Amino acid sequence: MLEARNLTKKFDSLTALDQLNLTVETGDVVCLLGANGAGKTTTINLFLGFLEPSSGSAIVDGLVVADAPLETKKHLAYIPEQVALYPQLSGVENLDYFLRLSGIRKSRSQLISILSEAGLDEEAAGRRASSYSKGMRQKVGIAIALAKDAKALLLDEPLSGLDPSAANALCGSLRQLRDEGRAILMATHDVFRAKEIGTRIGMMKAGKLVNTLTAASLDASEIERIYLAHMHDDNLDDAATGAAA
Amino acid sequence: MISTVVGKEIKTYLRSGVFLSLAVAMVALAVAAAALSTQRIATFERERIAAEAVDRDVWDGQGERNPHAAAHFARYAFKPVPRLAAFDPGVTDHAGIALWMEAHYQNPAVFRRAEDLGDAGRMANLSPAWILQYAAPLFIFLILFAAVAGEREAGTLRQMAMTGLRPEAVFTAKLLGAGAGLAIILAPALIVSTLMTSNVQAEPVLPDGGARIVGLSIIYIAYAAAIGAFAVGVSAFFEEKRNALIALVGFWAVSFMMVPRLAGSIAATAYPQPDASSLSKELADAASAARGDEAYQEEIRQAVLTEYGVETVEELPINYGAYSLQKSEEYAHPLFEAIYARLDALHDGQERILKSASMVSPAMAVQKLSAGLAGVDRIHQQAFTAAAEIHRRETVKILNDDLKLHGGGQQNYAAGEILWREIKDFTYTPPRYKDIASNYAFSAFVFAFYLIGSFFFAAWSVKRAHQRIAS
Repeated sequence: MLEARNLTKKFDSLTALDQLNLTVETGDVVCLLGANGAGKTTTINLFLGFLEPSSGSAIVDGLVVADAPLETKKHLAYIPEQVALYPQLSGVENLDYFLRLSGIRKSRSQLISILSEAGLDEEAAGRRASSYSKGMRQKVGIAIALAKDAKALLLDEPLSGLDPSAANALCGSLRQLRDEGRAILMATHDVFRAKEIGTRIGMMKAGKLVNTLTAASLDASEIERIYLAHMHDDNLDDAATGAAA
Repeated sequence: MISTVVGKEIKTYLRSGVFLSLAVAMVALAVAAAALSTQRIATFERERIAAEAVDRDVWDGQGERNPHAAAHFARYAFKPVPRLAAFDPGVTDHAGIALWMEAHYQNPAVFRRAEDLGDAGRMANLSPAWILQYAAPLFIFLILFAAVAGEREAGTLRQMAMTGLRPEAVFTAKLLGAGAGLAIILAPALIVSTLMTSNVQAEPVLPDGGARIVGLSIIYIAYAAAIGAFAVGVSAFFEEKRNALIALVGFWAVSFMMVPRLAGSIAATAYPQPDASSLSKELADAASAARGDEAYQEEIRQAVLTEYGVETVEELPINYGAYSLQKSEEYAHPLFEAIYARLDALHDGQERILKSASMVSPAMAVQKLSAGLAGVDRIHQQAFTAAAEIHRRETVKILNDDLKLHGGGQQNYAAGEILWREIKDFTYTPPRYKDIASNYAFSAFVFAFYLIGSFFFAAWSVKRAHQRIAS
């Protein structure tokens, strides 16, 4: 569903993403771990078509994003760290607005039902988004993905700043989406959540994918150890790779 | 998609406390301006009509006297104020509204209302046109500074881009949304002020008033569109809405407040107005110039003797004194024209500076076009004084001719009410706009440049913002 082929992005002399090769199949959740500036967000922006690759290609459902940026967006849902909503509009109105822009029209009851499926009850859905917590905003983001029937989800640090309950709810929703056959690519700093919902975990450093692990094959503390080894000592890269699946 | 964005913009505007407060403030300003302006123009017209009636009565009732003495007694030409002056008073408060059509003298127009207002004169500038030209842009900037920058800062622009909305659609939608917001905020103010100013008790002076109203409507709609597009462009140019607001308010302070005042001061310094006493002396010298020109006096004496085939003035069948007075009048005409042409040239120089300043101050270009369409600018004032001068010359000639033909050799010839009634009231019809349109070509060009430039800038800026959405 999502594929990066030798995907490279340079900003002047800085190589933000270097020869990334990655595939996210349907029902697959790939979590990208890495420090700030590792290339996680750049990868997501390239799939979203917000950035042009310097070389290589980002592919969504067989279509090269750079060649068909509008078509590929139809298959994608994007949930950033802070889901952007209009504070003067209610959750229902926000959902309706973004769906209409995507060419999708739903009745109010359908919208409420979708929001409810995403975890936002009717009372909250009718309130203005200015009163929403971060977790509630994420639920509207999930609702947009559900309503669009997106084949792939791109999430950029969606768990940052969420309280444990909201994070659990979001992870639950993501697991559900994964089980429904959606491909999910998520950038995160949270090793434990990555282990919890990811099928594979990619570790990025200085624009390179330095390791890819199968989440089920290792426990969280082991993943963390490998991750930290990559982050703190270049010499451990090779040793850590040995633990990769 | 575009209608969806426009609908959302309207909904968010109507739910914004700041927006609603601005709309209320705009209506309040418009009502205050319209009330002041309407009252001012109604007073003008009431006073003019009353003064004209008194002038006629005094003229007709002056009793029997020498016609040339009557020409010195003279009448006034009062300038009628067009109804549109209630919307845009232009130079009404600063230009003379009455002209004394005295024998020998081409007097300047007098009774400037601004001179009588003192500190209250500052308030007298408050008119619906001023509100639209200077205050409305600030309101527009306060409404639209976050149009794109706010969306980018909040992340909703990115969310919009995710739906596959093209930059062109974002541009169109944002402009239409801004237009809808402006319509909400400006329409009530315009309707209220139009209703109030259209009921002003004044004569429909302008021969093409309807066309001028259409012209004014087009100018102000286009002006709001240009300012709105510019605001959207600036909003899209900056990463943060705070910076967009600072830029727009700064631009307003410089372009709308500082530049017009600075340009006015520079114009007055570069082309200083002659003081009243020296102008008065020049006019007096022109009026008496013929008396000092002995060659001319001899020339006209010989001409009239030849015309009537006589040897001496005493043999003439006409009153030679009246003949001579009329010839002296005519002698002074080109001298007066030269004095006023010099004054006009001075005002032209001042206007050139103001026109140049309008290139960095769109309000000044609109001000020029608006006052012209409302019939209250210098061009119309010149047309009034020119018409009054023609009337003065005709009146003086009628009186001198009466004395010339009927005065004979009498020293004490006196005419009466029959002659006074022959002198028609001064009536003035302003020029049709199409006949004077060339005077506004530069301002129209500058305005068109702003309008087109604003839209191009906004289109470029929104596209740029869309392309930088990842940052």
